[in-house]
Amino acid sequence: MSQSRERLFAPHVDSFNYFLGPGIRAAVNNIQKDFVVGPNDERLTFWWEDPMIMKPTKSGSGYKDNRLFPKTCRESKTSYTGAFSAQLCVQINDNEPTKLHRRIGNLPIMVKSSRCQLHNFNAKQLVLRGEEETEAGGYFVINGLEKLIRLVIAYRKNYPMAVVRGAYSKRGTRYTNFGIQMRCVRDDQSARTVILHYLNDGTSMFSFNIRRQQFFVSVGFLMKALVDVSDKQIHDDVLVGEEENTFFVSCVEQILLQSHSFGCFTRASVLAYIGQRFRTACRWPPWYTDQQCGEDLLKEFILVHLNTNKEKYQMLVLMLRKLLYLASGRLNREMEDSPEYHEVLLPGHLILNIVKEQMTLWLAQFRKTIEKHLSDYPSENVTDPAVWKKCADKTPNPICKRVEYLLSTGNVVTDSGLDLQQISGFSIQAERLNFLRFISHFRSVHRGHFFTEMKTTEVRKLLPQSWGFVCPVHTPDGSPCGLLNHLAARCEIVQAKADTDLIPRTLVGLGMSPAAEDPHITADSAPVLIDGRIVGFLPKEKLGEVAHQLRYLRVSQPHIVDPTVEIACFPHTQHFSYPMIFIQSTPARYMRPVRFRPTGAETFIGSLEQSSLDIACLPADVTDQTVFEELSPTSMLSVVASLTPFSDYNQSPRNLYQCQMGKQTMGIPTHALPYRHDGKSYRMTHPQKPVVRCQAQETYSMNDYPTGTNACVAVISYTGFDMEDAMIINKSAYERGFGHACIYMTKEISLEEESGRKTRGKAEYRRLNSQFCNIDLSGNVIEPRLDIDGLPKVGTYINEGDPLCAFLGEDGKPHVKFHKGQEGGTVEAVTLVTTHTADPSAKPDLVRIRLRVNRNPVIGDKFSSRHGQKGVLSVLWQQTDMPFTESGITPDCIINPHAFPSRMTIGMMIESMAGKAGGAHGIFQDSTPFEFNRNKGTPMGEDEKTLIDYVGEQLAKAGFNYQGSEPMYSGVSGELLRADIFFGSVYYQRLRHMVSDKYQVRTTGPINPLTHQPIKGRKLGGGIRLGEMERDSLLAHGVSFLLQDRLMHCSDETEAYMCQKCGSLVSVIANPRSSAEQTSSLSRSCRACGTGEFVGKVRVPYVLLYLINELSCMNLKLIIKASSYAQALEDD
Amino acid sequence: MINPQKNDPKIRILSCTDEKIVFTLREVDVSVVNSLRRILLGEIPSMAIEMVEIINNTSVLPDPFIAHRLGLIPLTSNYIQDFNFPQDCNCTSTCDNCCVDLQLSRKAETEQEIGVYSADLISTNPRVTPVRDPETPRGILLLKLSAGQQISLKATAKKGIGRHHAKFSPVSCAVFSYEPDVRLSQAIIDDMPANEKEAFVTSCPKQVFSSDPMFSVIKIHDQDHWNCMFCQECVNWAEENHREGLVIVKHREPNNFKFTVESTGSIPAAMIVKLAIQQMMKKLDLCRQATDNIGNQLTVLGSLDGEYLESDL
Ligand code: SF4
Ligand SMILES: [Zn+2]
Repeated sequence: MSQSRERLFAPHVDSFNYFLGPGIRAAVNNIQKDFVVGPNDERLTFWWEDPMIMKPTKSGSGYKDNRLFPKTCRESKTSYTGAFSAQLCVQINDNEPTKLHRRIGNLPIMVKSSRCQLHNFNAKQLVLRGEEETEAGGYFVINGLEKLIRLVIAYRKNYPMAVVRGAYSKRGTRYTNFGIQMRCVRDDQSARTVILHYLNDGTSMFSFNIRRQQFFVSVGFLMKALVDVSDKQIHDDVLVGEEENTFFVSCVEQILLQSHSFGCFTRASVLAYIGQRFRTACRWPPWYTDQQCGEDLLKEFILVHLNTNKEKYQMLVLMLRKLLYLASGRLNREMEDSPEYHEVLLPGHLILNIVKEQMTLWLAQFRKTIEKHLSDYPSENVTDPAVWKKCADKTPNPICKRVEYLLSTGNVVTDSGLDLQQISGFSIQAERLNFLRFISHFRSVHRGHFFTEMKTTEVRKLLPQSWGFVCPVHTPDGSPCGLLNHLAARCEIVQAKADTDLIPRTLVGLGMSPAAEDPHITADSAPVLIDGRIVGFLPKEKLGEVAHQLRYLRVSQPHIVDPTVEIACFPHTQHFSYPMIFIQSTPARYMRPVRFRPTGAETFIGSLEQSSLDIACLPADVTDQTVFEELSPTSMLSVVASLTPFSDYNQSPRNLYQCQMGKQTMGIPTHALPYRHDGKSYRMTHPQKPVVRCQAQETYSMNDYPTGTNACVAVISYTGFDMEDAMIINKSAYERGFGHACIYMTKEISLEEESGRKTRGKAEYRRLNSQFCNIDLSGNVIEPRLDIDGLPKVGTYINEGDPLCAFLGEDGKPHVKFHKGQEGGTVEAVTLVTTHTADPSAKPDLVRIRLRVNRNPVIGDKFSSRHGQKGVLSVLWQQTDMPFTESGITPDCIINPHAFPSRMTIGMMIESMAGKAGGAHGIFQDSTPFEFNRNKGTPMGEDEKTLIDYVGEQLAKAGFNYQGSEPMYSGVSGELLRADIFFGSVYYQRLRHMVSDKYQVRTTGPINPLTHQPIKGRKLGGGIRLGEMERDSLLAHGVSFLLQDRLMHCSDETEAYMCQKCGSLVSVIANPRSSAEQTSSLSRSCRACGTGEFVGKVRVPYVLLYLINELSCMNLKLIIKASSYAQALEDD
Repeated sequence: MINPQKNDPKIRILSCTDEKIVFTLREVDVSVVNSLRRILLGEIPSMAIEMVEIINNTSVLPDPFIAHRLGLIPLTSNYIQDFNFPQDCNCTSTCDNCCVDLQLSRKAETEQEIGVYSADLISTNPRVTPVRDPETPRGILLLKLSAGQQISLKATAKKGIGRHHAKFSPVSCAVFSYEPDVRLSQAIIDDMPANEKEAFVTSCPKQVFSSDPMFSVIKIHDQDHWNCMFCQECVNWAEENHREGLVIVKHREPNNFKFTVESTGSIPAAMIVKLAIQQMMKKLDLCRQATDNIGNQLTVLGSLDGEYLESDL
């Protein structure tokens, strides 16, 4: 398998591997111990240890090989899970802790992760297990469906970001828009976002969240809680270099004044004050002193990425300074929508957070259970292990359920909020419509659910900062535009925290004074931060040089500066920024490879780092000072976008459309088709490799999953059938296989559902009596068209209403299921499985019948080239009537020249020429965008030909016209056409939108019971709405009878009786039938007028009756003046 | 409109093999030549597999896919005249006069993957067999079978024409081209320096012009003008280089045509052309009969002073 292609799935697989290994261990270690105090003051402490996650196995016994493989789960609609267990440690007072091995549950396991049975399988083994030969995993199997966790954007870890946000000023009186926001993240990836607010009285408030509730603390007060510090010290620390600045001075004065107002003057008293205030919010145990509570608050909620209070104090000073600069207008706001300040929330990290929270909650629940148990049974002793075991068993255990729930619904159930921006929409189904679509799921990054409803378009904008990290082309048009982005093909997500221990020493060698040694900070010193911790200070003018030195070390001495470390430098020469060096080694950041020119090696740079770098894109941009150079100009494109040939010649929206259409193409979705049971999958039967292809096609081995055919395309207005983006296909080409495709539909019949019993989940599992069978209890055949086992023969054609399977129900009665749906298909495979994988002897209770439906092109089916030029097939044209060239070639399809001028897809024209030349010479053509004339402007590029000349010469050599056009003869008359026709070979894709899935026909049919109007919906046999606009255009054409036909006769025409005298439709009633008159029709009379003299029959829309009825309920009377046609003529 | 002056066709065969025939047609109208082309493509009957009964197929390819591939195999149809069109045959369903049965049965017995070729199709009628040529004695690869897989089927070939399905068309290419008339102005050539002459000669993608190594004279060799495809590159070159009038390219008047027919192998190329001309004659006969009939009726109705127009035609 192509290495590069496997890398595309790395953000998912690697992060889950992190979760399985170091992640879960770190998280479990970080979980706070919980305890119970018994009646005799004995203290029972308990915590988790040694988490263990096993490879998935079948749960029952009696299997020779009890390994569970993803294929089995897909087939049996179960989840691919592995056993998760841990040691519950219980300690009495300070005795030796007792360890209880607890099985926590079954945790979903990501396919191809290190706990997957397929881990390290080679291609052959994978195929043997019914998987793709090139399976790369990255998804989970939940109830038989392939689900993955979508990457969602989070703010960069541990970076004090200067934001201006309107919402801040709504936090309280005097609050302004200014704030410094910081998302602090511990090593186990649990996060706490804090904000330092600026208030317009010059003070500043520090805000943080406890269980999704926001709290504010005065910043000066917080500083005093962190360290024993004098007012003078705070004053000096904050005012370094700004001693003369009256704004700064007055602000600091205000802050200090404010900190006095609480009457606390020592650190201890401040801590006690805080601790006491937050006691209820934090639920500390009652024996904690207020001061302890205060300490704990600082540890758990304030700047949690830092370990010591001194570091936190220094960070607060930095944040406050930054805030004051921002408020005074000397610092630019940092764009929170820019990828510089973003990273992604990885699946492994999300799951880790959920598991950690759930395990913490379990301990709390366990405590409650013990407490309740002790109060219920006061005689029992808390130190008795039997009691804990009983309580542990009684404590509900939803840990793994929560993860499974997340994967199946995308919703997070959380108590603390987990510092997430959203709690739903995390999971998506990995559709294998074609490989491009499949791969895009794993490369997509969503901005966040919150932004989808936002009115402003600010967040959707494409920023220059996203170059190389987020693809500018690959985003859907329509509502998620700009919010659902895709990673550039070479962009990587950092997976592990790198070792940074050696960096501070190196920095000291480069002239840094370490922060730990209380350096004398002067006006011209700038801080150096590693992972949000101030490690020291450097003279401002040395920042750039030091950063360069570090970057050099990153390439030459990877053991000192790891290649995944990001070195962002804000030099003092850059105006309106806060000078510092920000070094980051944490995971989940974007990084991408560029060339480091001093050594010529590849190096990774981060998104924050990139903004202050000068990176040469093309050789002509290189100067003597250039340090970084792009590997290729295409590195800004995503996988899908980099497959568009010559996309640099197209108008940009067309490339965007191609990214959409590429993902809707029929092709080869998967090679494991016989082992898969997707509800619907599309397959092209005659796919080809494209003659004109980009390098990415090879790099990512896309030829394994071709999505189209090379077609001879003539651009000519020939028959009139090619108007408005319609295309004509040569009937002979069609007959020889052009565009042929089929779809596979899987019909599922579950005996469990049929019997009305949901027995999934082992607890209530009971053997079903029902079974697939074609012989009823009295020995008769149930359905002669089926096989003896009650299933259809492979190869039979099943039409609507034909039997799919027969079975005996729970009560022994025979049942037959019939095929619904208008379209028939051939039975390609019948799979019988049991959903009870735990029971080796369980009888099959689920049958899947895979139908193959032929879908050769018919008029109205959609095709497209790779340049966003879609069109529908309008006619299959005889080959004899098609125009032909000198050499006797007739085009496979004809498109109209009008498709080009407004869309400006020059790339398609070049593809056409290049394809023709490639076909003539028997070569594949390279169409990588920006590759041609890349050296333009340098000596190397001087005598390079332009692309057009290059292709033109190839064409001329093959005996074609230089410009790709050819004289053509009319197939009808044989005469030369008066214009040269642009004729070449273009790779055509067939899109999945087909007429057979969409046509809607109705004369009469089901109606809405209330209005008697036709219902909508194709599946239900409804009609298509003829709305106001359609009505208007029919009126404008003067075709009122057509209108009457549509809106009356074919809709809700009904016969009603009205009284002409009072003009009412509701007052007419049928007279009671007297025994005397036995005539057929009833006589009617008007109740209002008391006579039937004026009652007449009218034909009105049924809704009119309904309206009149409703109005009369509101005491409104609708009078209709009516007379017969003859009468009306008389009156005139 | 057929020009009576040009209606004296002369045919000259330039080359002829079983696969390909090239001939010129002189003094004939384009409508005639194009009719011939259209008949060649769409109306020459040949045999092709029309019905497939799959007995067993354990290969990875679905039945319709294999059936489609079988249909496209060219079958030898030299005796096509002896067969009836299924719709014209006297039989009730199938008979030897309208159908040929073929059989295919292969199994991959060993671990080795095997290919199933068109030559594996066994015909019941030696006159109608899958086309083979010495270079590829096994014919066309239909599908591959891996260990244990099996295919067995019965197929029925019938007679049909290309207009109904491309598989019945016996030609892979049937095309004509106009004889070009490329004229050089000697006066301008004499005026041109050698490098310009060279540039002019190379401007033609089809190498219509030739010249001596020194680029003193430019000539069009005997048959070379046939290569011209009317792309006007040479004319454009002349215009761009201010040598208007250096070269003129147009269709020769009266029109002459070069006709190329390539066979799929089912019928020898020359025979296809013969069949096409026969077919054309048959059509013209029908046409003449019709016109004769109309003419007869016109004389009968002539006495009615033109009122026949509405009633009888
Ligand atoms: S028209 Fe084209 S092919 Fe013909 S002679 Fe001129 S350049 Fe050559
Ligand atoms: Zn017959």
